[in-house]
Amino acid sequence: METPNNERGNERETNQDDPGYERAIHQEWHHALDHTADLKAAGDPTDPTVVTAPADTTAAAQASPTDLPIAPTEPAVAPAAGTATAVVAGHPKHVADPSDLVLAIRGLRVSFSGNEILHGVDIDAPRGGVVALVGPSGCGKTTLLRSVNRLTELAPTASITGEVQLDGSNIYDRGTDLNLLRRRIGMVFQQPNPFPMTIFDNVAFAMREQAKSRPSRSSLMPAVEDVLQRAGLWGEVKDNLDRNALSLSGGQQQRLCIARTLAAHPEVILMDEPCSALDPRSTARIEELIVQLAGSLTIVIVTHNLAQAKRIGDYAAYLLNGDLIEQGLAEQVFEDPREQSTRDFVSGMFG
Amino acid sequence: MPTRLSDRGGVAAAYAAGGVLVIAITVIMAWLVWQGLSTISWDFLTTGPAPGSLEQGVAGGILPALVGTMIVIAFGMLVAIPLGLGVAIFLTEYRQPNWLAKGTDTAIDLIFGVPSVVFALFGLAIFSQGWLSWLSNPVGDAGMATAQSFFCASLMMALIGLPPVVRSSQAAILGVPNQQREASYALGKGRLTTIRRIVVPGARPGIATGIVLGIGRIAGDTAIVWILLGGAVLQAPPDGWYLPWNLVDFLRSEGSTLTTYIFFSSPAGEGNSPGQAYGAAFVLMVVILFVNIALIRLSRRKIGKR
Amino acid sequence: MASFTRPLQTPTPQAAPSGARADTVFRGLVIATAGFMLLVILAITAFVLYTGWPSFSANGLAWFGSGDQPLDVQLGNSFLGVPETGEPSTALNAWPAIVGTLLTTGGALLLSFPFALLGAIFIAELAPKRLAAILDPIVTILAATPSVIYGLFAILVLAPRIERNFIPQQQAEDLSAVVTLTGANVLLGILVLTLMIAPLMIAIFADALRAVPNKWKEGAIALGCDEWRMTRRVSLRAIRPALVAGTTLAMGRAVGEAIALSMATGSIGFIPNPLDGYFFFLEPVRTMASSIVDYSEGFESPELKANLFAFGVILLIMTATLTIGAKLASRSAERRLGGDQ
Ligand SMILES: Nc1ncnc2c1ncn2[C@@H]1O[C@H](COP(=O)(O)OP(=O)(O)OP(=O)(O)O)[C@@H](O)[C@H]1O
Ligand SMILES: [Mg+2]
Repeated sequence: METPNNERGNERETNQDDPGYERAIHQEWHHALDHTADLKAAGDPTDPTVVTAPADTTAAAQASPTDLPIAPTEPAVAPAAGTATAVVAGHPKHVADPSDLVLAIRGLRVSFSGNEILHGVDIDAPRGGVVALVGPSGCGKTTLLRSVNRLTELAPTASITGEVQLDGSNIYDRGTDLNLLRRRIGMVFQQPNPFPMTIFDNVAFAMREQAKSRPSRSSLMPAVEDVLQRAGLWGEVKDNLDRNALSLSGGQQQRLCIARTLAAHPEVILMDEPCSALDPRSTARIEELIVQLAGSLTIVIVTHNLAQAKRIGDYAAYLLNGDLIEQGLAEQVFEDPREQSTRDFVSGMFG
Repeated sequence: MPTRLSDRGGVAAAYAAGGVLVIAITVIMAWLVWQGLSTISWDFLTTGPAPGSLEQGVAGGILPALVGTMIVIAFGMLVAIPLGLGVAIFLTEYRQPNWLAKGTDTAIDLIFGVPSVVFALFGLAIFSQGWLSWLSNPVGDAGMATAQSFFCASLMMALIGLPPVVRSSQAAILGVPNQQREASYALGKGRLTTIRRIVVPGARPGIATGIVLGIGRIAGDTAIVWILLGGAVLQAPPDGWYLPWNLVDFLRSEGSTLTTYIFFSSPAGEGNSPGQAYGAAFVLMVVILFVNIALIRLSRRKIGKR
Repeated sequence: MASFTRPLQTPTPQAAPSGARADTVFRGLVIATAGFMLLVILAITAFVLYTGWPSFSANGLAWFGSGDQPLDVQLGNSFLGVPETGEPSTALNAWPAIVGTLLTTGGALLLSFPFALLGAIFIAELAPKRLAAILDPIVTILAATPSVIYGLFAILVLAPRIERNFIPQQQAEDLSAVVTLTGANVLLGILVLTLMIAPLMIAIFADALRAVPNKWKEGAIALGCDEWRMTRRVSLRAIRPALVAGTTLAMGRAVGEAIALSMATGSIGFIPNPLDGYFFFLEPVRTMASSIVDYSEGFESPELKANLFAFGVILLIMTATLTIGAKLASRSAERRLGGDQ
């Protein structure tokens, strides 16, 4: 599982040497490269040896003692910005430092036409982890996810309060560059939604958006191949990149959408039930893909499939009627939930 | 704000286009309302052109033109509605034989695209034949007909009003759920009963939309009226034209509508009197406005039903 | 196309004995109305072609040529008779009328397509919701406004202003031997057609833009596009069939418009001379469709009738080609969009 990641790292460096490639790609690509380099310097997060390092475990324990109560869902007690503490404990394998929160949602309230859907939710996403959001239908998972890349406000009736901190700064602050934000926080939708263009154009979409001048096809090709490789689609489509993306199967389309998102070099990817429209085989492919991507990326995934949440999630958060009931390490939430309602939900779903 | 220069240019251009649109709309509306209101009066609507006013310019009112517009709408739609519904039902409920379905489909598209001046020529070619002189009036003894009458104009207007009736009804009939048809068949009802009791009532808002669209097209057409109703003269209807025993004769006679009245009294026509043209244009726009208000209401109703 | 075809076969009903005959009769009626439509389109073609044929057969390919007599003189000759003999003649070199139609239609399309596209983007994506809600029905009304009203606006409001501001006395006098310049000219013809077809195109394009599936719009926004980039990169691709359909519909309207152009173009069968610089646009023309209306009082003359019907034949061919071409083009555009995967 780690091998392809390492290969990818090498490949990127080779790409960097290519002058045409250099010219074509906008700064953000370099940001991403630098970011990867930083991560590497800090210790490859996908390296299992680092994960089991005792020093890290202690740090995690200090940051969030195991017996820390679940984040209160009362709005009055919502922690102020900047004072966020990781409410999650333990140390899953993808996460270098559980206290290093790439995403911290604080007291998020969303209402549509005065009807409050989220009543002040706090959620933590440690860097490199996979956070699985679960909860019954209609509890606000999609709304929560769409509030993290500020899609919720596209609905004119929506009003949003609270904070979403990305690397410590609130994305709801005035002056946030929405387009930049949405490149840093990618999204994969429930229904695969490739654009009505060729496979190549779909993948190159974000790169062309980010490029200053129109990049040539050959200069984009290495990057296109790279993300298609990472999305596990390259082998199936490499011979007909000019095929209409809509002619792919549902599972292929969803992997294409993941590739398209990866090409924008996001730090976080939000996934809203990415497998709900897919058959079990395609689902397995995508789960595999998520696990591979974790570590270099942070993933927040909504799923109705608790088995899936357990398989791929490092952390889990349980949402009920717009309130966060419980969050923590996935194993703990699913096997030994603290709250009775979580227990009911989990046993209902598994039982 | 987009960062790229070309994007900024594009957005600026789109805003500029929007601005031009707003200005153009304001200017045209203001012009029409201003000029129209200064001409229009109760007399203007309820009297005919002043006698002897046709040579030096038109004076007096527009009643005959208004009546003419109503007549071509009424008679045109009287033909277009049953025909259009029949075609729509064929294209949705039957579609057999297949070649006929395909052919009819294309025919409706073609009829929708044919310019009205070509319909006028077609009407002229057909209705000027002697054996159809009962639709207008015979010419001399050459076995020809004038081809200029309310009948002739209305029949060609029917072709203008037909395509929207067909297309809207077709879409609406397709929207009637199949279960409803099956339920009716399951009760042992025949096809005709099912169509009459289930399909057509279910498609009513869509059919109405098509009819209103057709009315709008007919009300706005000039070329057909000019050529097939005789636009050059503006006649006042004879007294008692609406009495049943006079009606057929009246419908065989020439006349005018609001559109030809405007054309005739504009500087491009012989009756060069802009004031009258403004007044008639204002009245015609009011008709079109009503048509559009009806359309908006119908579309609301359709959405409400789903 | 596909949307109008019921995918499921309507189940064959177990006809109740009482209704069976009525059903058969009704089926026959419905088939007859459909057949009648075929008949109508065939009859239009046959009658117009038959009546106009003498004009084509008398002139051969020269019909499309430019000849050396002005259009108005030629049409006058086929009504009043040739000066030498006094006999009406079918002789016609229709190039000036063809030029008139092509110039006004082409000019109006060049002007209104970009304007309509930008205007539609403004209304559908950029404008504040309130403004869009006001503009939307007004654009629909403008699209439904009778062409004669635009003609009136052109000749009463625009023409005097063009005449005052763009036609210097001196220049007009220099050209007066060739043609009289007034406010009614090619430019005004183009403007009046633009007034007619731009709202139509805006309405069609804006509807299509709004109908672009939300998943594509949100997909683009989630990748960091703003509304403009989203529209440019995704929506415009998705609405290609509507772009084709709307443009050809507008083109058909422009080609066949008789009344408004008769009012606005000056209705003089002149061929604007490109050597006159920008005066090219200030010279009058007469289109095929407006010739028919302008000379409609002369239908008693079989020669003029044949010539005017010949214009009708060309208009019929042009609009039929547009209709069928648009259908094929938007169908293939839809296929490329994966409409039938
Ligand atoms: N744009 C909107 N306008 C009004 N109400 C909305 C809007 N979007 C969502 N809602 C409401 O918010 C509530 C939560 O919806 P949401 O889609 O977030 O639930 P969910 O947890 O994702 O459900 P599911 O598991 O079925 O996807 C629902 O009651 C829904 O009706
Ligand atoms: Mg959801």
